[in-house]
Amino acid sequence: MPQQTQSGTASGVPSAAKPKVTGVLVIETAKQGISPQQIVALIPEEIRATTKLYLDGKIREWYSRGDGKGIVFLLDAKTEDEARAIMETLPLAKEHVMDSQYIPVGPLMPLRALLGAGPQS
Amino acid sequence: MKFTIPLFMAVLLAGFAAQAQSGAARGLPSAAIPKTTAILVIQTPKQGVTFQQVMAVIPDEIQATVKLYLDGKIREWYSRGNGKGVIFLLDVKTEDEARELMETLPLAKAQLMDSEYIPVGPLMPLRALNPAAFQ
Repeated sequence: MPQQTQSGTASGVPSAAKPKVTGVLVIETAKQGISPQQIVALIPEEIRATTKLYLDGKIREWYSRGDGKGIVFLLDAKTEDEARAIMETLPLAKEHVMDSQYIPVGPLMPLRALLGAGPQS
Repeated sequence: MKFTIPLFMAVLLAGFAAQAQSGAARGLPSAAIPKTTAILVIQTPKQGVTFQQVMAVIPDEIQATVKLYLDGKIREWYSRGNGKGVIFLLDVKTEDEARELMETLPLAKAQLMDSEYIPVGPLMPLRALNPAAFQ
């Protein structure tokens, strides 16, 4: 088991468990109290801007939520700040009608254990 | 554009009216609701659970997770950037199905993890790109 030396953080998660960030998941939902009409009014512009981002390779995957509350994107970004900068170019975000949650993600690190014993990289 | 409402928009607004009458909570209207093609699962260690507790179960967890992947149940898998948990995209159609799958995994059985389930599907607003073709 790796010793928790340098990380020493309160979270107790050694750096070996943290992946290289290869994308940022964004979960965007309508703010409480926002009327549907406010959102619908912006949708045509939102679609254009979002599709442009997709064609630019910035949006790797995009989904509507099954409960109708918003969207989920996987952005081609390396940090939360990069992802936020991308999302803030979109009309709905500019109007401050959406809440966004950002989750940086990367390769599933536990799979490293499948490589068996050997020099740790 | 100002004086005509594309059919998709009209459907959206009608959907809102219907939803308002049914007293539905905040949310977009039914035209915005996709067919569910997958369930996103965000799994994080419960408050107070230590890294060591999780690591003790990890060898079994890896085996079971890889089996699910090879069975086609896990379409995508990620570690969180902060090292505290995983995100899976499961090839199932309902939250219940997703929960059933996740509960076969050792970490869940050991009651060490919290799971959030988000059904997802195709990005419905794209329909408005060509309302005539996509109604």
